[in-house]
Formats: sequence, structure tokens, C-alpha cells
Amino acid sequence: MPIKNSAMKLHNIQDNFADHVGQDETSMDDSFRSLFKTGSITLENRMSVYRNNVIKSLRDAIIATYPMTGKMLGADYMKKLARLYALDHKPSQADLNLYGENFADFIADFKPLSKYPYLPDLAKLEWAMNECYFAADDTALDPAALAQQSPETQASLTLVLRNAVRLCHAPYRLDQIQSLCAGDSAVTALENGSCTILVYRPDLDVMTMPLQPYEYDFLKSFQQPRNLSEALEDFTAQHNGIDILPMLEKLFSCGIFKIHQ
Amino acid sequence: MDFCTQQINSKHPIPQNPIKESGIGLRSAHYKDIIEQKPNTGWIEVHPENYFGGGAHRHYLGKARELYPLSFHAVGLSMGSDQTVPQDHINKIKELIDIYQPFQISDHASWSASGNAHLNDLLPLPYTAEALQRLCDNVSRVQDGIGRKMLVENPSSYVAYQIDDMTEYEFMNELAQKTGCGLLLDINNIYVQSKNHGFDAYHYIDNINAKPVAEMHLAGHIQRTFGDESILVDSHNQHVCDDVWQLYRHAINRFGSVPTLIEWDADLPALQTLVAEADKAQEIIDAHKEQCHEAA
Repeated sequence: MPIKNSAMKLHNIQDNFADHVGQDETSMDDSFRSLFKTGSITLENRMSVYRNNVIKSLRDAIIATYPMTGKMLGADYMKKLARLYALDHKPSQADLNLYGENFADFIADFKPLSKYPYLPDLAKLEWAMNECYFAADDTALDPAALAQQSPETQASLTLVLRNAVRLCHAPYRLDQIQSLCAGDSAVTALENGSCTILVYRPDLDVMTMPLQPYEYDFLKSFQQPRNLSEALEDFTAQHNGIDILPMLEKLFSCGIFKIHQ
Repeated sequence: MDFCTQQINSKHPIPQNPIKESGIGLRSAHYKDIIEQKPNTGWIEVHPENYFGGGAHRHYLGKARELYPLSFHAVGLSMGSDQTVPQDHINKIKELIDIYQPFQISDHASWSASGNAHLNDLLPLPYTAEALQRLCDNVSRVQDGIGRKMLVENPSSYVAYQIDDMTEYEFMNELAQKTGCGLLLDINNIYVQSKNHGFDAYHYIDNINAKPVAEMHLAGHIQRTFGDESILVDSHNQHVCDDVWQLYRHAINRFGSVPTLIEWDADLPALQTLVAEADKAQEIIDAHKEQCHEAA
């Protein structure tokens, strides 16, 4: 039995309204239709303004967050794909900077793109870059200050990766795809093989850097707070023959560690 | 630098209140221009939701804040939703207030969230006693959470409810009276609605209580056509039209010289164009002041 509009409570009105503007055009039942005045403009046309605002703003947020994926797909295809995502995925919070987390999974499940298996990994890399861009700021461990500490103090430190650091691993050469998207004409075809990439924001700009697999393993161990001395012991045991000092110099100079409080 | 706990540090005094009434929005495309060119504008406005988290946005906001008084115009509190405003959202805005010390904080008499879905638009409320009570509860909750008074803006809308118990201006007057909030009058929104719903925009302005009005907004709109039908859409991507300037003159005469923002969020023009539009608003304000001075 339809609800009489005079009895329709605010939450019912808003639930119904949200259903109508968050999806492609749907038929309106009489009880919903009777909530509104019409005048010379049909209710369908009035509601389409809201629908357009909602879906287009979400679509545009996806396009802005995933520029490399868009470049690989072409602008028109990306618009259509982002629109489909927006129809199926509404943000759970007002902060649009955090919208689009599941876009890589959406691409992976999107059958027409199954011939391009690297696309979900590319989208994951872009989401990692987005997370780093908006991560809360914190203070990097200063390698110069660390060097002045006694060996005992250094060994006792518990370190963790900073908020704006992500590690990406993919069975495809994402680093080459990045170069391709950046207009590097030297990349003509993707080489076979996997890659590991460090995504980090030392200050204002997000940066990426290919990692050796052993560097990736070392950094992965600091995704949770870790005692530096123990981490080095474990690393040495697992990667016998790797010269540890150049690796530490390289990674510490990136400003990606902080002291765990 | 740790921007999360950053305080504004400057060799010079930080401007707290507008040195003139007209202001412009600070959008990321203009960050560097505003900081380097230091245009002659009274104040700047930002959406605080764009500054949750950290990073470059906060860096540039801090730099701009050293130069200009700041207004926070929130777009995500969804105070008209039939659910409580999340405390986490209020806390994030409070954190930004503590750092950047805005002279004004505002959001809209509208809703965006329904259940777990947050629709990224300012959706219309029915003007009923139930919706008024819910909005009042949420405005009071936000004001308690941030520890100060806020302004609430009249929305633009494209549908009008049959079930309204009162007009929008009565709704806004009641809201201000019950919660002690101020009102932010968007003159373009009143104009757009008057055309879409067929009412007299001047009558609306004449019936808003003057005392709570503490800010005004001006923006451009577009006409969207559907065959023989057309509707005005508050698009924030155009110059302010002549009719809206005329309505603004009327509003300034009624409400006095309150801070006025030029809202331009899409198809952003060069910074100079924005500033020139704000100068037009300032000319109207200055003419009003001159009239008042002569009358006195």
C-alpha cells in the first residue's frame, strides 16, 4: 500500500530521493511523485538536474584520481567506465578525496577489459598515489640526526613507515606504463616481468621509485612498527650477500621512516 | 613540516577580519597566483573538506592564510539529513578551525547523506516542522562541537515540495531564531529558485529577518533546456548576471555591508577575472556606505 505523502517521514523522503538521483532514470511511483509541485517543468526534468550533479561529480572525481588509467583507456571510454562505477558506488563520507578506493576491483571484474590484466594494478598504483597525497602529515626521521646517535641508541629505535608511504607490487612492468603515460617515447612495448614500486610523499609532491625486490622486502617489514636492529638481523639472514649500507643510505634519504612513538 | 599540528607563523600580524567586504574563493588552480600576486581582495573562502588529511593543499592554505582573512564554507556536514552529523566530520573541521582561525564558518540548509550513501550534492529539504527540528538539532550539534556560531546558507533547488508547511524564508528565519545561527544569503540561489518555482525574489529578501544575515554569496548560473522547458541551474561557472546584481543591490540596502563572496567553482577563469567580479560587488557596497553616510 503506497504511503500517503502527508505521512511520509523525512527519512523515507530522503531514502526515496537518494534512490532516484543516485541511479539512472527510474520510474517514480505515485506516492513519491505526489510529494512535489510540478508547474510547467516536469518532475523528471527537475530530478534529472540533481541526478546529473550527483553522478557527474562522482564520475569526475574518479577521472581526476586515475589519470594514467584514463590515458590508457582513452578519455571517452574512461568517462563511461567512471560513470558506471559512480552508479554502483556511492561515497560513504563527504570527503571526496577518499572516493574511488575500489575502482581497481571494479576494473578487474569488468569483463570487457579482461584483455588488459595490468589495468587493475595500474589503478592500485594510482590509488596508492592518491592516498599518499592526502595522508596526514607527520615528521620524517632525519638521517643526519640518526647518524649522530650512538650505535646502542640506533639499535634500540623502533621505526615505522610514514603515513604518506605505500608499497606496490605487480606482475607487470608498471614502471614502464608510468613512463608511457608520461610521454616517454623510449617505451615502445611492455617488457615481461614484475615490478615493485615505492610511492611516497616526502614533502608536498608524491613521488614513485622502482625498488629492488630485497628493498621491497625490507620496507614491507616496517609497515608495522619494527625495531631497527631486529629488522636488520632478519634481513641479513634472508638476503645473504646484499650490501646493506647502500640500501639503507638510499632508503633513509627518501624521508620515508618515522620514529614510532 | 608537520602541517597537522601547524600553527600559522608569520613575521607579520595574521589578518583576522576582512579589510573590505568582498572576497573570492581559493581554488587549487589559483594557489600559486594568489600567493605570488597577492590580489587586492578582502578575504578568501575555502571548503574545509578539501583540507582533511595533509599535504600540499594545507601548505598553500597556510601560505594564503598569512595574507588574507579566511572563511570556511563547508559542503559535507549534511545538516538536513534525518541522521546525526558524524562527530568525526565535526572534529576534523574543529581541528582546521584551531589551525587556520577563520572569521566565518558556514554550511547549507540541505542534505547529502542518506543511510551510508553520501550523494555529492546539496539536496532540497521539505519545509516542514519535522525537517526544521532535525536541521536545528544538527546545527546546534555542530555549533556545540566547534564551540562557536555558524552561518547556514539557503540552497538553490530544482524541485519544490507539496508538503511544505512554510516558505523557505520562514524556514530560514525560524532556524536562526531557534539555534542562534547566522544566515548566509546566496542571492543567486534566491534568483534561480524564484525562476524555477515562480515566486518574487524581492519579496523573499524583504521577508528575511535582517539581524542574523552575516554574509552573502553571488554566483553565475546556466539555463538547461529540455525541449520547450527550461530550468536555471546554479552552476558557479559564469559571471553574475545583471538581474542578480540588481537583486544584490536591493539586498545590500536591506542587510547592510556584509561580507560577500564571488563563488566560481567550475570552468575557473583567470584570477584577475574573479577579482574584477568581486570589485563589482565592492562598488555596490561602497555606494551603499556612501548613501548611508550622506543620509546621516
